[in-house]
Amino acid sequence: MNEAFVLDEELKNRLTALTNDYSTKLAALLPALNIIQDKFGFIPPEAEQQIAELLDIFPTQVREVTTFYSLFYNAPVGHHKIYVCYNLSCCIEGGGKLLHYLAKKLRVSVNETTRDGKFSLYRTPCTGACEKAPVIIVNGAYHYNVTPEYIDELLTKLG
Amino acid sequence: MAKEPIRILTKNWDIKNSNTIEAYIKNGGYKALEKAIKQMNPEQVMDEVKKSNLRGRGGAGFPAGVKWGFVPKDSDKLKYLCVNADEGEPGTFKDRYIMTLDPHMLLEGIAITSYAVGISAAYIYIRNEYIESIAILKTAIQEAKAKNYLGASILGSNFNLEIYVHRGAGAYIAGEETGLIESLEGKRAMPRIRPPFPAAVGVFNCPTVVNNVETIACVPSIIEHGGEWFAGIGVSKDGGTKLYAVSGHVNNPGVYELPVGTSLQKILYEHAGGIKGGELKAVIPGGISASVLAARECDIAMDCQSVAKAGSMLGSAGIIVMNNRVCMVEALFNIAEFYAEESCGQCTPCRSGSHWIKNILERILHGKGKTDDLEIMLSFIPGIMGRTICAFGDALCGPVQSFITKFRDEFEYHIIEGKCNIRNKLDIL
Ligand SMILES: Cc1cc2nc3c(=O)[nH]c(=O)nc-3n(C[C@H](O)[C@H](O)[C@H](O)COP(=O)(O)O)c2cc1C
Ligand code: FES
Repeated sequence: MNEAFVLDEELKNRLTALTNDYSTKLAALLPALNIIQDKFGFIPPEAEQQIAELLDIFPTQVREVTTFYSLFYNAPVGHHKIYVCYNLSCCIEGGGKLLHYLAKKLRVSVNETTRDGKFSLYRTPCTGACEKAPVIIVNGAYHYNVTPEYIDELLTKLG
Repeated sequence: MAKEPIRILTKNWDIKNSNTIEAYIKNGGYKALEKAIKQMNPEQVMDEVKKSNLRGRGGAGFPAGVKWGFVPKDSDKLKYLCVNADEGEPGTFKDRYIMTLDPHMLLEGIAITSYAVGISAAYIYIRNEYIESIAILKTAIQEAKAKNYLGASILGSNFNLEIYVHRGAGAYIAGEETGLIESLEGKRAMPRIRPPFPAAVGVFNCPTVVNNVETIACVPSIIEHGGEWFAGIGVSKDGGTKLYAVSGHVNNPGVYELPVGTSLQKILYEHAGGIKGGELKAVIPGGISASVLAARECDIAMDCQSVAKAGSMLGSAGIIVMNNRVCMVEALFNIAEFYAEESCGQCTPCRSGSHWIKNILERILHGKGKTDDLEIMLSFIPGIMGRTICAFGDALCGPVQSFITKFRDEFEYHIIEGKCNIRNKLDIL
């Protein structure tokens, strides 16, 4: 993404409409950031600025929030985001091994993106699906009872 | 003859399209709301919930009706309900089932609660990853509005209610009730000092009730069948059924609805299919914040008081089962790492203590443990316990204390021998 980021009218209207749901404009910040992130994969710095203007808050207030929550990114990430659950129920069913397997296959460490920009690998705390451990989340979709073979297939599919 | 299992929260789960309003109404849904609005005044609804002995299902087990009663009646400010759908406690996965399989039970519960407390706006604060639940809830809200179970002048009364779904962004601490409120207001989810409690000063500086999804989902049945009926199902001072979420080394992991106070043995062996892959070694009974129970301690009833008496807590009733192939040092390291990463950083004891504990466990696992490492870790506990703004600090101490004292020989073996005597490594370093 090289061009300067600009919130278009449609997005601006969507974000402004969010403020109707709350008694302060600031409260629309998380929903607004979620919309931006869903659309662009990360929160561009210019977007932080423009959201701040839209919500009548300081840009630092936006930055405080984007740096606190683990699912907001301040820089571009891989096209496919892979999260491996690393909490206890998943790890005792092989979650830790899956993470190592993926890291080796993609040749990245946790929190890194492959050189071609295709995949980013993350660990996530419990995803609330421990009964189907181990769990991974790929581009928002849950995958259950995951095995290394399953990962092979999945990576091939994602290309 | 075996007694019919009591199904309150799961009664609709097997029905086709259970998450649609048609299916819900066909099975008696929204009758309780109608009854509350047309036949009862708000005080009567609150009394019924007090009588039911419904305790909060989010972790702390506080009586729901009593909490509602703390909301000032004479305040001229707006009042809010925040439904805690953050479900962040590792080992917990019950609220997701309610929201995906029976969202209208939750919405009806929200409506009745709001009627009782005088609330006109409710937020469902839901964790970022639950996009399926978010979509289902949003549809359900539209369906309920179209039938006037929500919105303006509900069922012809002067009671109005809007429900909003608010999506989080990945922070365990946003599940803590005042962290949730801060987060909802658009800030970092840093818990607030209490008092004032949310019932007096909550979201947008207004009186606020915060309840867990499962707690609220119990409310329609209480109004339909009466508080006494609900109280009669559980144990004394802890009414109703509970969704026990069992994961780890059992043959049938899943969510089981059973009367509060059902024995842990029964849950593990009759419902979850018994232990998988080895012998039972340890159980965490209420999400990883709960102290671990050794196998010999597992003969207990699963209600707030009984589990507390056994030195742990019912918490979210997320039951994590470990067989004898799990290394307790690895398990505790995994837990400590979670706390170190998720501490919001406000309070020094929690922020630093969690990292110190994680680092010591890490060196023990690398074979570089020192002889007094266990005492050092235990010595941190009095400095953390009760000395932080929220219960996160205490939640970290329970596992540390219980794992180290109950499985001390395993920790000592690691320190003395510099290796593990369990072959099946979790591979988490
Ligand atoms: C660190 C921490 C995390 C919590 N996470 C959750 C959570 O994810 N979901 C939840 O319902 N309660 C959670 N709680 C408990 C809430 O603070 C609060 O007690 C609960 O939402 C009240 O609802 P209840 O009375 O219906 O249980 C958490 C508490 C702490 C200290
Ligand atoms: S531990 Fe992985 S989903 Fe809960």
